[in-house]
Amino acid sequence: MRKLILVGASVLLLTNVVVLAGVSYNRSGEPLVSIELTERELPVWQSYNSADENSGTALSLKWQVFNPDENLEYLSNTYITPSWLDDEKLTALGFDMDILKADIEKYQYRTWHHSVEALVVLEYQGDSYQRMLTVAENRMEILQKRAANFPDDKREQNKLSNFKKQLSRLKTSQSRLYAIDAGLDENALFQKYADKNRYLFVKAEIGLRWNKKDIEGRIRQLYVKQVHVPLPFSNMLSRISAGERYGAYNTTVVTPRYRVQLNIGQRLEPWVASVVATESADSSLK
Amino acid sequence: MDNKQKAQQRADQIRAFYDEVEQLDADQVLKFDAEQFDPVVSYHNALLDSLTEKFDIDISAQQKQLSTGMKIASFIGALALAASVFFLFYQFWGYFGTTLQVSILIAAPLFSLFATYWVSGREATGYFAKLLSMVSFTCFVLNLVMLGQIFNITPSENALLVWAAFAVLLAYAFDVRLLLAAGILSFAGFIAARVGTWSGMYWLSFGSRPENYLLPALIIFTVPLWLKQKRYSGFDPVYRVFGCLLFLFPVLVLSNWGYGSYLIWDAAVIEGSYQLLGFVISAGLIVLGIRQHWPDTINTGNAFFVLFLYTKMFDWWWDIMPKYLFFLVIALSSLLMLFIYKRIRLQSQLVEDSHA
Repeated sequence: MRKLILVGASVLLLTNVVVLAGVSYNRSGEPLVSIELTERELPVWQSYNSADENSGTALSLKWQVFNPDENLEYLSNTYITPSWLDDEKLTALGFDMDILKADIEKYQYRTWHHSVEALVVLEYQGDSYQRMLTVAENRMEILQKRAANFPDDKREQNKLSNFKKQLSRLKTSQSRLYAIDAGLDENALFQKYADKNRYLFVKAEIGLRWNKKDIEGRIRQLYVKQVHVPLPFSNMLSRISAGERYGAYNTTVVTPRYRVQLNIGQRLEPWVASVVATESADSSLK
Repeated sequence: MDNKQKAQQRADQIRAFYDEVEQLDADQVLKFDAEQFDPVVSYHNALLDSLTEKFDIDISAQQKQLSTGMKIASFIGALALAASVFFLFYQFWGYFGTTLQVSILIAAPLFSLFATYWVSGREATGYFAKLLSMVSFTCFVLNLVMLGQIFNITPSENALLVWAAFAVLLAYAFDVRLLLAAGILSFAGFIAARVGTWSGMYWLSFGSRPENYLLPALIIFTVPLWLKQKRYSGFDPVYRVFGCLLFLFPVLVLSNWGYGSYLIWDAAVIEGSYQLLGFVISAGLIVLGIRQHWPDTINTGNAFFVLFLYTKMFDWWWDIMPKYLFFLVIALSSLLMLFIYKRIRLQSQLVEDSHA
């Protein structure tokens, strides 16, 4: 028995040494990414269970996919197929699109099994976000004209009212991180998107889905969903973000109250380097 | 005597012997005289004393009932204490700095491991040691899960492997079947996740490919064949039962969901093939269990055979039969199985009598 106990203790210690060595390696040298984001991109993670006793603090990583559809109804999208995730890109990611499309009947109910781990590039406040604003504003104009032409049509009035709120959130509270590329070759992506203050690299699962008579690609999930916030930043965040929080079920427009310096290391694992209140939050706290 | 289970069986045998002697005396069939009986009584008393000292067995019906109660209390206590440790850390960790968090997470499983060893040397029943060993395993799971959260580490299936290793070590150190089961499940999860990643799947989706479990199931089922478990009470059945479950449950799923298979045949063909495989394997397990005197294997094979049968009947008849007729057919098929088992039992009795 004593031998088994010693082996057990060795397993415990060795595992922790390996894990902490990995953490140390990830944070060694200069970070791959060092970017300042706000509450829009990193809102405080909320448990749906109001009785949750978890005293830890984490930030959710919020991101979007640009939707070029002029008739779009929703301005928050992660489940649509990005325009850059075409057949050529999917082939480069390892999917045999010729075989899959040659017999859609056979594969249409199996597309969800096809997935690959790839590196996704998120662009911050870049071209995709600007284009999204343009598309949204164009759509807003169309809805305003329609509402003006049919002032008694409650449906048109409601559509306009809802879209106004969405546009307001897009401009003020919603994430400005947009997925713009993905690949298997990490070094190639690091070189192509070399601006550390503008691009994030996150491992993700890219899969396929059947859409009517076609097979499309989709970013199923990012592997980084939350980022833990250590002391003393967690105390700071608790004070700053008390009260209204922007979330999926709370559609209030919330002006960002803090900025977060987020680093991503050698193993593409993120950590919070600093948290600072924005000017508006600072003055309201005083 | 190699283990507690065999010692308990011997004690039960002795108790049954004295009960039978008393009954024969009451029925005036046979009465032992003192000269014949006293040496037997002395021998049995010495044997029972030795077994009680070494294995802490129950020598009376009342003791057995109390032991059952202690086992249930120990099981609930272990689960509750493990949950309490988990939620205790969860509630307060946000108030600690990173260094303190990491120190507590590493110290907790180590400290509870050595505490378990210390208690096991001082307490003959083993219940408290088993309880503490569960706590130690929980602390190790918490250790890796929370380090992953604190440092935002990309989840890896390797955690399942080290949890399996630790659970199995504790199981063999303190004779804890529950931890052996936990170790087996973690190991199966690791193999399934690793096989899944080879096919390009994200490892956390390993549950969505039932076939990933078939290989670990076969490995686990055969462990007692190449690793003798004589000193450990009830470990063989744990390996066999979990081997059966990890094989037959995926087969059951695939017999109803052909799209979950790696095979790209027509879904109906895949489902039919797995249904057939399910019947064959579960029937085979019943036969194997009868031949090898493995009641655990017989029962598991039985349960799944019935499950496959009733699932098939549901597929064939639920929509086309009135409900009363459907359940009548189920009842009649159960009676038919009762007759078949009775026949097999009678034949097996005849074979034993002829050998005697």
